[in-house]
Amino acid sequence: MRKNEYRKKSNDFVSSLPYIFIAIILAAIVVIAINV
Amino acid sequence: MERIIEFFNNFKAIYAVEFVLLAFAIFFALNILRKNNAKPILWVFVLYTIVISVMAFLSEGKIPSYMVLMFVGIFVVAVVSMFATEIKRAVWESTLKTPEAKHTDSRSDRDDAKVCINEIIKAVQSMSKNNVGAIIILANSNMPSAILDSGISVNSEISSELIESIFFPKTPLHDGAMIINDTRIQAAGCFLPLSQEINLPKELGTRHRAGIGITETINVTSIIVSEETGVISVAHGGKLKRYADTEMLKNTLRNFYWKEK
Repeated sequence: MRKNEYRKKSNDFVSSLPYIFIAIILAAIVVIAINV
Repeated sequence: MERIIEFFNNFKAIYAVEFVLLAFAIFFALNILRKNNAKPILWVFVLYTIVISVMAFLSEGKIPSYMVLMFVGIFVVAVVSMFATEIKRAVWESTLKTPEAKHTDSRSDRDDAKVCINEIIKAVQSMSKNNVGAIIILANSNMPSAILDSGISVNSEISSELIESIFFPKTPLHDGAMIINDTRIQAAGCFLPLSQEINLPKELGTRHRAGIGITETINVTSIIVSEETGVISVAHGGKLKRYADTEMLKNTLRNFYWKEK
């Protein structure tokens, strides 16, 4: 059971990786745009 | 280009703080959109942020930075308010101990739980057979007092006879929900928030909507018996499973009382 929960959590993390990437890029764009 | 190079040459700590906070806020909004299958809105959000940033960049300071942050903020707030129910559920799930985690230890606890499981199943099946409508909420001290106060405090041991008596038609408490807290019936005749989900089948009445509605915001499980058809349904996390048989009921109740695999 614990193994399944661990697997579920790690799957969640892997599937959210692209969105972490998009969030980082967008945040960088906004920070540069407002501070240059 | 020169402006970007200059930005990196004069990099300040406050930029890093801005970046981290923004990244978290944007990821939070994206994650809500992703989990709610709202990918078109997600891409609109991405495009919107890029367009606002490019406009601010090209305007060379004519669009003030707070305006840009405000525009991005408006979208984050819009997303949060659009999915308020889902966020509430996520917060409940992450902050509260799940009911399943509670009973794992002593033998007597398990014996008590077994008796409760059998009594609940017996009552639910009997009510289903006789087309008596019922709604039972399995909660573990996580029921808001506003809901408990809307009904009548019972605080009694669980027995199939008592459950059936409470839901017997034309009795004062039969119309509301029964709240089971641990191995006791805490309250009966309670009013629950209704689900606003528009995709629910038309044949489901207010009782089913209430049963689903409460599980959308609070980490509880509801067992619903239809008055018209006698069909038993189980709702958890805003999702309804219909046509529950003995096995499904047993699994639901075992998950409530302890995790057994």
